[in-house]
Formats: sequence, structure tokens, C-alpha cells
Amino acid sequence: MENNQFYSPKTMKELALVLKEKKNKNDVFFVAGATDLAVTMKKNRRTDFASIDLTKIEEMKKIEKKDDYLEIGACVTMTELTQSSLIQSEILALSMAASKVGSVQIRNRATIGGNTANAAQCADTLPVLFSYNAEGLLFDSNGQTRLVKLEDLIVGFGHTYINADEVLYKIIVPLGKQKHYSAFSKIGSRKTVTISKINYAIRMNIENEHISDMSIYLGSIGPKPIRASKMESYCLGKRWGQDLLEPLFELGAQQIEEAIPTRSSRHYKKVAVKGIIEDTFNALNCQLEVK
Amino acid sequence: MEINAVINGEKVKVTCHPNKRLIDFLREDMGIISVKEGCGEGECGACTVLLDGKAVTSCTILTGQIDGCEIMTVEGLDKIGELEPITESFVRNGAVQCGYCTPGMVISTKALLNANPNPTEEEIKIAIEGNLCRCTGYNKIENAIKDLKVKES
Amino acid sequence: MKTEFQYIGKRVERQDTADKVRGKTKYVGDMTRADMLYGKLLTSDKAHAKVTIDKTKAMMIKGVVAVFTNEDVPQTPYNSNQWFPGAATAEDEYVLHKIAKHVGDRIALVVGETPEAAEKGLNELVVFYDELPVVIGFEEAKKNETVIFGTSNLAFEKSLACGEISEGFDRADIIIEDSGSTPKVHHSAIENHSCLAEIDPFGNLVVWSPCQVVFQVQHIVAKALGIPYDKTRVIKTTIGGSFGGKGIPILEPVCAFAAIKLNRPVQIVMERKDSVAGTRSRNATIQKIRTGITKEGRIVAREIVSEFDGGAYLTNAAAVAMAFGKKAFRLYKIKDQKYTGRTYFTNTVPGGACRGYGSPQLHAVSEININNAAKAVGMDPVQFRILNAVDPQEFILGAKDDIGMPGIGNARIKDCLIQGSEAFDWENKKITVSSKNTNRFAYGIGVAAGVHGNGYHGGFPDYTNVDIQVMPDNRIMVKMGIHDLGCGTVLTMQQIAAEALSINPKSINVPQADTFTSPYDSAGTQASRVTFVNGGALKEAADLLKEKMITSYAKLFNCSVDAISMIDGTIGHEEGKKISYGELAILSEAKLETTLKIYLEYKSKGNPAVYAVSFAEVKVDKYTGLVEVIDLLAVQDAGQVINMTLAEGQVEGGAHMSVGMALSEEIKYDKQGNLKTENFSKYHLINAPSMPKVRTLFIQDGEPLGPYGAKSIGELAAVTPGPAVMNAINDALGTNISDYPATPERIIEALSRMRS
Repeated sequence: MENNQFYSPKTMKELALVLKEKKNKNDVFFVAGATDLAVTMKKNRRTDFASIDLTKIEEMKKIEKKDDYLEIGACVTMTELTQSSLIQSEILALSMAASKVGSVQIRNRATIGGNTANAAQCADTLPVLFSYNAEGLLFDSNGQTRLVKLEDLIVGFGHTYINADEVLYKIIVPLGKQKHYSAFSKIGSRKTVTISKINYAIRMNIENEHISDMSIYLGSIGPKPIRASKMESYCLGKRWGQDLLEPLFELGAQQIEEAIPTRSSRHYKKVAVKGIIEDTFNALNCQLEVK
Repeated sequence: MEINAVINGEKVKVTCHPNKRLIDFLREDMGIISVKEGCGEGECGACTVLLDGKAVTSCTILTGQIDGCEIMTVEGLDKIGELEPITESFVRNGAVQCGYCTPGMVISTKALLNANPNPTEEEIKIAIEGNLCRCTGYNKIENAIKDLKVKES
Repeated sequence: MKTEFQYIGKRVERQDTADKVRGKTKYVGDMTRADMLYGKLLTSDKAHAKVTIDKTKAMMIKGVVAVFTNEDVPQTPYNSNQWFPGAATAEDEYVLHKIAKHVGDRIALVVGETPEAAEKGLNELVVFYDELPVVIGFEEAKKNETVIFGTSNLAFEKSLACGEISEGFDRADIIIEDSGSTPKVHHSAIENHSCLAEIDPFGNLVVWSPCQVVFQVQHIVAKALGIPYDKTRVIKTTIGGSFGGKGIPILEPVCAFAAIKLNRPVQIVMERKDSVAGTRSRNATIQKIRTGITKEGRIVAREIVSEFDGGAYLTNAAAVAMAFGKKAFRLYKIKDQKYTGRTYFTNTVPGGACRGYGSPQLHAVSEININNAAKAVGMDPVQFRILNAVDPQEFILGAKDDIGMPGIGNARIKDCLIQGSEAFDWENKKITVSSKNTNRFAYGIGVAAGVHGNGYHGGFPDYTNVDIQVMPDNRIMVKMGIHDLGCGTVLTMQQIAAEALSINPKSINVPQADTFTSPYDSAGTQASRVTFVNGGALKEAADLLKEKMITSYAKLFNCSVDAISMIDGTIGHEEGKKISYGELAILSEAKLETTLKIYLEYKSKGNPAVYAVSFAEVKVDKYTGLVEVIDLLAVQDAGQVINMTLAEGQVEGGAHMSVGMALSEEIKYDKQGNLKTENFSKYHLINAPSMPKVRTLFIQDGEPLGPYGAKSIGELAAVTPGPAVMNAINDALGTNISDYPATPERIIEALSRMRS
């Protein structure tokens, strides 16, 4: 594989062939939305690399519902996630998270695969995907696939356990049998087009007005989103309502203290977390009202 | 690499380094100067173009990726006669000062109105959230876009 | 008395807008020349280091034509801030630097046949940094362990005073002390710095630059390169915003050097990272203010000490400290007042003009202090300001202020406060605003006042030359050294000349500054001087031209001067025939042997003050620390607005910068001097969803010395909205935040400090 090469496979079969070549080469990069790659390469004043463009593979651009899970192609864009009625009805938090990524222009290009596989600590879709126990479907040079829990696949700070001849093909999101509710919120330094200082996803099930299942992840306070187990266990079995807010604020702050005990940013984040807890609380209330 | 694309309504077939940024290709190879660089990281929106009808920052796209796609800039909109109402509204409302962010702003406006001919104030603000303007404070730009809404008859 | 104007004050549409929308307008980066080369600047990665550069590998890259370092360029020092040759200053900059004094400092230029070749060349430069100790922040600078230039890091120090402050403070019942700070601000013109230099067929150097002062660029380039001034032609191009950022030549000397050396056109376009790190910034300040007041709320004494972070080169060390200080004496009546300013060198981006030149910093902290003073005597902050604000000065040519500067003129600050508080519904909001409060959100209102000037008169040479001529085709040609920075200066001049001559503004051509065609102008488009000084000059020249036209007509048609009238481009007398101005020009040449033309050297007649007051309402999220400005009213004492659309544009845009300074904008360095905010993802401007609607109100009471009563607007517009927002935040929260910007982190910290 020469530098300056540009591969534009149209099918998974063609992709497998390219992956074979990629296997033993350096300086070969996947490119989908290119919102990160183009910027990084320009910054390093580089054009002497090879890229594999994934945006022409229809297989990777679909959102499909199968039984009790959702398959999201790695090249589905943030705009598509925001606007997809399937995502809105099945994983509202993901639609909310996608709508908060970058600007209109970035959301039109940035993909869920990129947001995931770049493994940035501030990635906005990751807390949601983790809270759903989502899995990454990897596709390799032999045309084989393997399924790995995203939380295990992502190392953080840009690293993953994706092999040199593998590509993140799809994201599989289990939906469970019961109706569930979910929400996302983030805080940056401005209302929109901002990098998350903290982001937060919550997913829950309610049975007889009581919380029967709950998953909460906090992002941007570690290499990858951190599970807020204390917040979850406090809520489990309790009635969903205003009374939960104060204890959740307290536990949220604790969770941040534990995650970044020495960072000076913790002072701010411990208070600010209240904002995103309340935002998601309000969003969930809206969902519960219209149920 | 040979790129086949429709640029401003014209079919083009050109050889270009595929890893060149789209903004550089459009400016240097195509001579389309309305596409401006302000930040090179997709934050300022001065290089916004329509890619298959969607507003995107051309500094965050590799040229190889536009093979088979359609690109539209203000020059193209002008050519097909779709720019005039926007121009008039921007002039009338004093929405332009230095003008450097303007073509990108116009493209975001066009993308918004194509998808949503009657946007709310909030939708207008979101449509241009990725277009920075240092001169106007956005007020007059928003007014210009509001003026372009399909008037209820 | 209100005069009815034909063109002044009207919303005449700009003629450059349509082409800008269509993408047809060419900025320097859009210009091309046959045989043109592309220059890419290498800027320092280190804050302070002796640099050695090995260019061997870069020179081997195909398409790389030349690599220049400090060793290749003339070793003549200059101060890029020196806008006229007579300005006394030390000189510490070079075309390219051997010792890098800040991250972003220019250390080499690679010139290539294509941009790619130049970039590849840049990548192949082997740079060795012999690092020196780094000076970041005031504390380090004051230690003087490492001295950046000369014998001390103290680059400038001066005091200004009126009365005797110790006596003043003796008379005070209460003394209110505050300290605060303002950050370095990036101008954030969306067009990065750029330049094109070439040699014309006559052997002249031609520099195309989006600049603010062509004669300054000419001076600096000629001096730095040791070439004749008269063979150095600088042409101001269309500019993609400046705000002071392009006021000082950065790229011009090196671009010109390369073009001369290689005898080919060379274009340099900077990247954002270099624009932030390697050009100029608003000077950061730390300030201490003591204000003595009586129980009745009268200010009797004030002492202001402000320290400025001047950055790595001398540039504006003196100018910013003086500009800041002078304004402290022109807003409130304070008998005994003293100001001390000190500027320090640090290994950061050098200081330069930035919309308001000292005013944004001064009012940022002093207007918080004024609020605290009002609070101390239980007075409403608006009433307190009305009580202490200056009164309009009786019109006397040559009047002075308290420190001997030119008089403040028709100062309508009180009108701004009174009419503004009514328009904002201040009294009502004051009572009701807190009723909106919830557990999470706090609401508050704030007011802030500010003052700015009209040029350099009283401090530096402030004059210009105008050449105005009637053309045979009934058009008017105006030659003067103006630079439209995007605000519509050209149209402002067109409307002034149009009013004087009674002709459609579209028939008047006012080309922008070009050292070969524009008559000399002493100070360029800066210091809020253009409408007042250049506009004043143009009006006077146009009036003289009108006189000449009337006399010529009278001679030609043998009629009385009193019977002649000029309207809409035609001149005639009662019974006689009406002819166009163009026909008159033709007849004047043919029959009277004269051109309908005036050449005027015009000295500024004064430097009146301009005033503004902003009123803001904010909603503060006590959880996240995010602030939403939900109402903003900006009131300006504008004398006479020349074009209402342009004036509103200035005030709305100024509010954008000022609110940004209050909430998010800040150039940040780590202790090693590495830039932490090198692009817009880290340096947050206010974007559309966060920008409030700006309500504007103009007090138009006329300034006797200004053309048609006009005075400056644009710089002042960026002064008061920020402090008003700060005061509103403090009102909402009960805090006393006086360090800018009020980031979410600062707000949360202030809240928790208050609780504990």
C-alpha cells in the first residue's frame, strides 16, 4: 500500500481486501466524516498517508431494528441519529447526544463509528452507548466479524482494542423487552458547539412506578465514560420523582471526586453535575408524562 | 486520483491528491474563492459548502471523498439564480460587514431554508451555530434570514 | 434644532455587500499572480529560546525555492507599533527572529512554488531550540530574574493625576476598594493575517495588505528593509475583519523581503494558530482601584493602578497604558484622582490595539467598583452614575479636560443613563427581576458606562489630506487615506460628501488607502478617528469644492452667487439653465482653465469624548455556572449617526466582542508559555445561539466639532456591554466577580466561596 493512496471500497467484500493490505502497514487511516482526521493531518502538515474511505459502503450507513436490538452502521452521521425516528423512539438519549455534537456542519459529517472508535474522553455518544450495554461489531480482513462490548473495546484517550485489520462495522444496541426511558446531557463552555467538560447518560425502566433497572454513565472525567454505580443502586427500587434529585446530586459529586480526586477541575464538575442530572431528570419526566 | 463530481452544477473530472482537504481543492484546483479558511478545524464555518445538499465544512473533508458527489457553493447558487433573494435580503438588512464569513453563512442559510422554509428564531440560530462572525453580532444576519422565510399568504 | 439631512442618518445600502454575498470579493488570500510564490512562516514552538535552523533538507524538497531565517534578513530593529516616523520608541523587533521570545514568534519563512511545497519544506526544517528561562505572568516578570529586553521587564511606567488624592481621600466618608483582571483577547477576525508583495514593472515594491495604516506599513517595511519610502507602495486590500489585530504590520516586512530577494510575487497566508499566537492581542491587565465617596454618594477621590502584560515585544507598551489612563479622567467628575500604569514584558504574544484601546480593560474593573460604591451608600447604580457623571462642556475651541487633554465636548453621558434606564425599564426590572429566581437559576440586572475618544489630537499628530474632484461624467473622486475594516467606512465617507455636495452617494468614489495615490494621512484607521477626523476633513473639502463650483458657475453664466443652487448633481440659477456637475467641470476646464478640485490638509480640531451605557439582564445557572444574557440594551452618545444601519452594526458587533470578553474569551498559557487556546475550539467566541438580541439607542445631540455633528461609535461599542453583564451576574448572585471572563468555573468558585 503506497502512501498517498486512497481506497474507496463500495462493499464489505472490497473492504476486506483493503483491510488485508492495511494489516501490516503504518500510516493507513480509516476516514468517514473526516472531521477529526482532516484536521489532525492538516495540523501536522501531512498528505503522505493512505486513507480508506468508508462513506461509500451502503452497508455501513443503515439503521435497522432487529428483534430486541438496533443495528447502527458505523457511518451513520450525527444528523441521521438526531433525525431518525427509529433512534428517537428507541434510544432517545442517543438522538439527544448526537444533536449536541459540534455544529450543524460537523453533525452532517461526523459518524457514530468515528465518535466511538476515536475513543476521545469527551465523546458524546459513548456514555449513551455504554448505558445501553452496546456492542461493537468488528469486521476483519477475512470477512469475519466479532462482537465486543463497547465498554471493553474502548480503552480511551484515543486507544481501542480494534486490531490492525479490523474495522468497526456496526454498533449493536440491545433494547430489552420492556419499555425504557433514556436521556443525555452535557456541559461545555458555551450553549452549543462546545466540547464536553462532563457528559451524562441515563437509561431506566419503570415498573409499577418504581425504578426496576437503571444505568448511568458519566463522561469526560476519565479516559472513557465511568459507570455511576452508586447513583444507580440508590435509585433502584425507589419511586421515580423529585425526591431523588438531591441524593443524586450528592452521589454525582461523589462519583466525580472518586474519578478525578486530584484534578483541579473537580471542584467545578462536582457542582456542575447537578445541572446535567436535573436536565436529564426533566427530560425523563417529559417522556414519562407522554407515555 | 481522478475525481468525478458535480461542482456548481457542472460535471468535472479532475486529477487531484485524494488526501488534499476539500477546501484546498476547491480554492486551488477549482478556483472557487468564496470558500474561505478561518480556522482549519471545522469551528468557524467560513468554508461551508453544500455536499449533496447538506452544509459541511470543507476543511474537514478529504477531496477523495467527494468522488461521485455534488458540491455547491455561492458561485453555483448564483449561476442557477438561487442566490438573488438571499443577496437582496443580506444587503437590505445590513447583514454583511467585512464579508469574510458571508459565503459560509449564506450556504448555511440555504441549507436551512431548503430543509425548512419557515424556520423559527431558534432554528435560525442553530442553523448558523457553526458559522462564526466577528463583525455583526449575528443580529442582522438573523434578520436577513427571517426576511427570507416563506411568507404566509 | 434639528437639521433635515438629505443623506446623513439615512440607511443607505452598502455597495460592497452583494459581491461579498456572491463570493466575488477578493481578499489577499484570493489574489493570484502569474509566477506567484507561496510563503509559509515557521513560528516558534518554544516561549523563549535561541533558535538554530538547518535548512538543508527543506531546500531539497521539490518546489521549495528559498528558506529565510534571521541570518538572511537585514538586522535593522524596528517597533511595528510605530505608526509615524516621529514617534519616539525603542526598537526590538526584526524581520525574522534569532531569539524566539514567545510561542508563535516568527523564526523562518519557507517559500515554495505551491502551498504544498512550502508546507513540505516547513516540515523538513530541522529546528534546534536552545531554551532560555521563561517569563509568564506579572509575578515572574517583576522578579526580573530573566529580562526579556533592556535592563528590566518593566517596559513602561507613568502616572497621571489631577488634584491631590490624599486630600480627596481625606474628604471621603467611605473608601471602596476593588481589584480585578482582564485577559489577553484574540481579535478573531475570521480572515487570518495575510500579505502579498511584488515588484511592479517600474521597480517599485508593491505590498498588498489588509491593514489599518498604509503609511505605517510603508514606514516599517522601508525602514526594516532599508529601501526607499518613495519606492514602497502599500495598498490596502479588502479586509476580513481587523479590530486592531491587523493594525500593526506582522507579515509585511518578511513578505516584502522575500519578494525583493526572489524578484517574484510572494503571498503569505497565516493559519489560525499563528494568528492567535504570533500576531498581537489585547493586553491583559491586573488592576487595583480605590474610590472615595461621601455619604451622599459623590465621588471625591479615586486611585487606579493598572498593570499591563505587554507580551514579548515593546509594541504598544506605552500607548496602551496611556490610553487606558486618560479615559479615567473623562467619565465622572472626580476632583482628586491619580492613575498609574505599568507595562511588563512576558514571553507571550505581544500587545496591540484591540477595539477600544485600553477602554475595555479600564471599564471592566472600574465599573464594577462604581457599582460597589453605589451599593455602599445604598444608592441605585444608575442614579449614582447620573450624580457623578460629567456634564457637557460649553463649546470652546481648544478647551481642556482635568489633565490637560482636549475637552470632552458635548458629553451626553447623563442622557444615555436617563433615556437608557427608561428604555430598559430599569426601575421596574430592579423590583421584579429576583422574583424569577428558582433553586437553580438566578436573575440579575446590571449597568455600566464607558468613555472613548475621537482620534489622537492632544497626544499625537492627527491630520489628514483630502483631494476631491468633480469628474466630467458627473461623478466625484475622493482621494484620502481611509481603510474600510468592514464597518462601512467608505459608505460613511460617501454619505458625508454626498450631503455636502447634494449628489447621490453612489456617484462618489472613495478608493481605499494606497501610498502611491492617497495623500498622506498621519494616523490611519485607528483610534476612533476616521468619521471625526477624516470625515471632518472630507466635509470641509467638499464645502470648499462647493464654493469653487458656485464661483465657477457664477463666472461662466455671469450670475450672482446667491442665485445659484445645487441639488441632486445639478447646479443652476433662478432663470438660467441647469447643468450637471460634470458639465460644469468640463466648462470650468475649457473656459476658466481650472479643475473643479480641492486639495486640503486638515488638522483635527479637537478630541471630544464619546459615551456609552449598557444595560443587561442575565440568567445564571447556579449549577453549571453558564450565563445567558437575556436582555441587552446598548446606548451610545453618537453625536449624529451618519448611517443608522452601519451604526447598529457597530453596536451589535461591539456587544458580541464585549460579552465574549465577559463570559468566555481568554488567551491562556501554561507555565512554560505554551498556548492552550490556539484555535476556536478552545478559544470560544459567542456564537449565534448564545448571542442575545441587542437593542440599540442612539443619543443624537450633535458634536460641534464633528462633521454634521458626528463622532465615533465602533470602538466604544465594545466597551460597556461586558461590564454590564458582569454587574448583572454579581447582582444575580450577590458575588463580586471582577476577574474576566466570568467562566462557569469562576462563577461556581465564587458561589462556593460565598457559602463558606
